[in-house]
Amino acid sequence: MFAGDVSAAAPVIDPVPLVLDVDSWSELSTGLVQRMRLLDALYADLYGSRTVLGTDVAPVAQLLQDPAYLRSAVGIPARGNHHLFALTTTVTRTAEGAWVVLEDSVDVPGGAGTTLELRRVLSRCAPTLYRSTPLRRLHPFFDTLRTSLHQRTRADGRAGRTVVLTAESEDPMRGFDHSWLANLLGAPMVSVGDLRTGSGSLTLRLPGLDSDPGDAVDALLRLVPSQLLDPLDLGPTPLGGVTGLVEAARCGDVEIFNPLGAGLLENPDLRSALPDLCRQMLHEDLLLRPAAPEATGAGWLSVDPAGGDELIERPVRIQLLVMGTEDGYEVLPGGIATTADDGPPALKDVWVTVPETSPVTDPSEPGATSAEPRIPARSRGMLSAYPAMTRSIGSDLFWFGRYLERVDSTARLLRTVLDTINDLDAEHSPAARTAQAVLLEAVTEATTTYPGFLDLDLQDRAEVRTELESLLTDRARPGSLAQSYTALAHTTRTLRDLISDDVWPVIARMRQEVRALGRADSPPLEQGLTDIVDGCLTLSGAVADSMPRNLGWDLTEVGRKIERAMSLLALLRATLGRRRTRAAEVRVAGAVALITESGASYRRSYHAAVQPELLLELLLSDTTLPRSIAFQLERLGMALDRLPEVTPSPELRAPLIALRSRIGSWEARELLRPVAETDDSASAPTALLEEVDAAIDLLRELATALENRFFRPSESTSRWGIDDV
Amino acid sequence: MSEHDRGAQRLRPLIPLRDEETGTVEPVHYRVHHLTSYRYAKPVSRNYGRAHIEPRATPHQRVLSHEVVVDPSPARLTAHTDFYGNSSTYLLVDTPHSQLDVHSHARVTVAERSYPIEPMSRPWEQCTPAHWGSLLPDSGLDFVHPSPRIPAGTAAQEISAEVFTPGRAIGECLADLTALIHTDFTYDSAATTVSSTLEEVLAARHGVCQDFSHVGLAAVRAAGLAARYVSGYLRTAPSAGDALGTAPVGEMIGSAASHAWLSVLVPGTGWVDIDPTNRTFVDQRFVTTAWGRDYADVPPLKGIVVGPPGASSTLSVAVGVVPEISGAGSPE
Repeated sequence: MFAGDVSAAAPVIDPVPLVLDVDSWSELSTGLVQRMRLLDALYADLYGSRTVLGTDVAPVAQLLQDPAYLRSAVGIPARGNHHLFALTTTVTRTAEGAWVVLEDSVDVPGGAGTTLELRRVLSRCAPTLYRSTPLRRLHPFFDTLRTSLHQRTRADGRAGRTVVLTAESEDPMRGFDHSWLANLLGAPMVSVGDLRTGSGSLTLRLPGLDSDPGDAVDALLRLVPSQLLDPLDLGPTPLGGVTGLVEAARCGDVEIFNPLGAGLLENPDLRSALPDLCRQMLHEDLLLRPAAPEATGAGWLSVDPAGGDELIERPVRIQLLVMGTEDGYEVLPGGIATTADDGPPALKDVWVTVPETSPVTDPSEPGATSAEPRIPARSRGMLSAYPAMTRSIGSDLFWFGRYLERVDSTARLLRTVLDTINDLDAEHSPAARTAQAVLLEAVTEATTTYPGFLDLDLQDRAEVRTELESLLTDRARPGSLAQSYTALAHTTRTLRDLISDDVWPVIARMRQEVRALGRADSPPLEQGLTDIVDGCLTLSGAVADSMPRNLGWDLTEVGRKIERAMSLLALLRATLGRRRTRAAEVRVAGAVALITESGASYRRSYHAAVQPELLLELLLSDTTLPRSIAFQLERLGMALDRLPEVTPSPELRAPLIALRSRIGSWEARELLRPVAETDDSASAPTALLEEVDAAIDLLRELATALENRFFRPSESTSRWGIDDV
Repeated sequence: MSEHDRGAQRLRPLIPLRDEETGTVEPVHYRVHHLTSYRYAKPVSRNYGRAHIEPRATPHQRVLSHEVVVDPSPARLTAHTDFYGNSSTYLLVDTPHSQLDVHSHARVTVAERSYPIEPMSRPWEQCTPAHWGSLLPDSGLDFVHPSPRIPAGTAAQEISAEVFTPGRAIGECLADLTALIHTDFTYDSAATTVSSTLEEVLAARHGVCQDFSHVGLAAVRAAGLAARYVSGYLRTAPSAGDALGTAPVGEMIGSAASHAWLSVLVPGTGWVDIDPTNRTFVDQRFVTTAWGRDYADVPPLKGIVVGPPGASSTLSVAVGVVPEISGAGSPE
């Protein structure tokens, strides 16, 4: 499940769905729509005329003291005929069979993505049951929603541009839920740094470019708490948020869903007062009553968490989602049920049946909605053209490229080193021992995981083994394979739409493989590492074959070439930087040829056994070899040339020019000549050491300049204000 | 020394009670000019601001005209009426600039304030929300509770207990509270910053008008009464040729900048404003701009600047509140 999730704890799913019949659903959904209408009216009043505060039915004192009552959000107009866009309500059924409400989530309602994922898992676990049960499908709901959202935010004859504003979430389930909602609504995910308020519009900030009014956003679906959105008007918050967003909403530049300050409607005293408020405001009786404290809910058939074969009854809380459409509100015909007893919590899918007599409204599989949803003719063909990407997505693409190469090079390096070391073990010669030491120390240097092997007794097999395992599996250790993979998976979380869909299973499979490394029941390490290299090849293939050749691709390419050049240089420095005995050098160079996949080219070019000078010459200058330095520099230059530039930026060009001229002047034989007479002929330093250090510094400089230029704010933001005296 | 003796020693301000015998005092017409200037060492690229610097209408104050002028020319300059009825101004300058000037110009008329004897002499216990009746606006409730800068349970409870003794007349209580803060706290503009907490002020017994107002608010609210923070200006001594004065007139404390005090809800007469900083009931020397629960609701001017890292700025503020020579009945 949850491909983008890199955390360890995946939720437990109970495969027995919670089935609601037509009557139960009708009762529940009618109650939820009424609740949404009531909360909408309350929002309109509390952030408008505030007549409720003059009545004795509202918990006035509690509302006024609720920090969620954002005074500065009062008076912001709504564009449509309602204020609230979404509501997540958690209900339970009492033992007597009545639906009661436990809580509402109004500031940042969630659950859409998780509901769909649950349904997907269930439909795969029990395909026969799923297909034979006449139940309401979920996708048509989102199609309707997407259409109405675009209708509502339409501007100047084009469909409205909605973006989904998210924040880095501690909870991967939440992050997943958010990214899927964005995907369902067909809206790009942005973070606060991607948005800028102006004189009449809210615009997206693009990598390397300043925004222009053409990039205006009409609506913001915020999945960030209200209080964190505007440091000017909703502070005191850390200086995050979008400065001026409250005023932008007040002036009508942008509509925000749910509107700012909607969290006030979660006030528990208000919840208790809803029955009275409903009579007063809607002149109706409230259908869904607040849950009585300590009330026990009815049980639902579930798998026995103790492992018994019989199904048992477990009480549940059901999270349901109501969303605004063009002509009212609709309830997502499904939901997330969570067990609410002392046993280990499990999630259950919620199935809403349709009457046996009526045809299933949409018989298609999820994801393949065939029925034409109710799209008004006038909105057909009006695709909103979103700007290509934002700064945060650009940054993710750049780092996706870098971590992809880092995982690949680390896996290749470790695979060959493990293999070679085992071969050399069988030799028992001094040359073999030297070669082993050089290769192990090269692992530490190429992955910058100091002190690593440099501090170990390399003859102690147990110590070497422990260090290798740490390099493979320690997710907390920068430079380890596990850490690089985790970072790679992390960058993909916002990239759903930008790379091929095929990458998600690959990312998920690689996660299994990385976790399996070094476990007793796993295949040998070399096999596990080969599987990870395969994963990298598949990702590279998806990028090469499916990714549009636009700015995103260029940024990924730049990231990959910088990373590959760096790791290659570090490898060459660590393995060839010091002269050894001829016998040791042949063995080391052979391993380097394997790691860099240059063996075949070498054999075609040179007839001799692998010699350091010849191998270095090949890896430095052969532009046809995809793992040569020359190849990286050539492709890096081409990708950099394609990046958008407002003005030529010397801080980007200068390091590349310096790098080209430095590496261009390298001559393999010169580089590998010992720099000084030394007694230690078994480990004589060469000019390669210093030259590579200088080249890697230039690459780092280039990478930093690139990040500053394209992703990071180059400006600082600070508060000012006046002391009263 | 007993509590009573200590209270008796303090010099209490005169309660401006309404006396049917004397004639009404003429209103005063003021020209107000409030200038805030920032100078930046390096040009900054964008500046966002939120201001509460336009005088507002009150039962004692009429606003004849007001205008906010921003230099350089702002990309957006908007104003709306906020939750508390104040004018709230937003400004955005999005072209590079090395200086930012925010002017507030206004012409206001301030009437005399005096209070009938009866409500001012009723026991303070009869000023709690239960006694408000239906004549008073519901928004008074918002000023009874703790607020962001004025938490419950501070040492201001002791001040409250000392001032609000059982059965004491509300007018006496307010006069005594004003005197107590003025006597026990030292005015020191270097002692606090905008971010000083109420607890810090109570412990140090130092502060500025904003802090004194917060102490007063905390004491009144601890007694269960409604009190709000008021932001405004003091009348300044006119300087030659320019409406921007350099200091408040006479013996008044507060530099040439904005001032703050508090206002307490007294059923039967309405909001009664006291200024602990100057040990006085608010009179015709005061111009009101905005009110809220505490300073955080109505800072005169705050903002966020975006510019080169490490850029420094210097601030200067000048306020002129000068009686208009023309208008009828200037007491000068």
